[in-house]
Amino acid sequence: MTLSIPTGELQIWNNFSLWIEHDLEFETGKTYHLQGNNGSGKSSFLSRVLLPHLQNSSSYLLYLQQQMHTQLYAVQAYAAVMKPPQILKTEQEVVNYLGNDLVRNYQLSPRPAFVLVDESRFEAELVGIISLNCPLTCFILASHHGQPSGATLVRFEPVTPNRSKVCIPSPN
Amino acid sequence: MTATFIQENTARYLICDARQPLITASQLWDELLLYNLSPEARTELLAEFRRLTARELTFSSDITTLSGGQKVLLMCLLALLSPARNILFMDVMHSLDPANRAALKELIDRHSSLRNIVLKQS
Repeated sequence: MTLSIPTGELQIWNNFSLWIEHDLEFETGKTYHLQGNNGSGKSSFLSRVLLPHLQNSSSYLLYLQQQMHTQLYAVQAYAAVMKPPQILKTEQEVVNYLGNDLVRNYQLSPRPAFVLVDESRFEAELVGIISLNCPLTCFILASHHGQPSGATLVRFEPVTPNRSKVCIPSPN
Repeated sequence: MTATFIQENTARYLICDARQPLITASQLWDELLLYNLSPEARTELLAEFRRLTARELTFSSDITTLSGGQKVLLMCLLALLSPARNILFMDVMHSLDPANRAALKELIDRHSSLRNIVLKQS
């Protein structure tokens, strides 16, 4: 399965837009690394462009927000009332819970999965859990801490404070 | 280790956690009220933020539209320009790009002569 974002200007907020220089394709079984300076639009691309597309698809979707404290409380509450109830105390436990939940559902009913991770300190562990068990997964990772091995780079380059260009640099 | 440090020092330190950088969810003015900045410090805050991010803020700016890294920078500037004598920064470098990590380190170094600043990871 491939998620395609066509070339064009995307108005993300009233005062911020992203210019998609060439068609972007995100394929299951591959990893993509969103790289760019603070404020270049990586998080907005995840939440305002990719997420709406994926919420309307039949694929599994796991999205870890940046500064995920609100999400954290929601998952802790969810885990506490499910059977068997689990008490999740730390962010790492929440991330592992979500990863294991995806693996469990994938194994019951395999279908493509998209995992969007925005600046999580536990990205490597999560990718490890899921990639071992869910081969039809596309990882899209925003991070300032080095490119994951084998990942395709997606660059966010500010043109002005209100506009960034999004592109996949050529390998050379 | 960090949890113990916080338990022992809650009353002494202004604790700034990058996992939840902003307390309010509206205008910059609301967030400013929490930090007790002087009028001069408020002016310096806007200038420093513009220097670091090339983004113009006013006191009525909606701070929820800032990026994650920009929220962390704003939190750090608010703390450094506040009257707090002891500041604990938690996980502040993680969501910053390399240029902003270096800029924040320089800012912290500059303010360290005036106060006690501790950086920790959770």
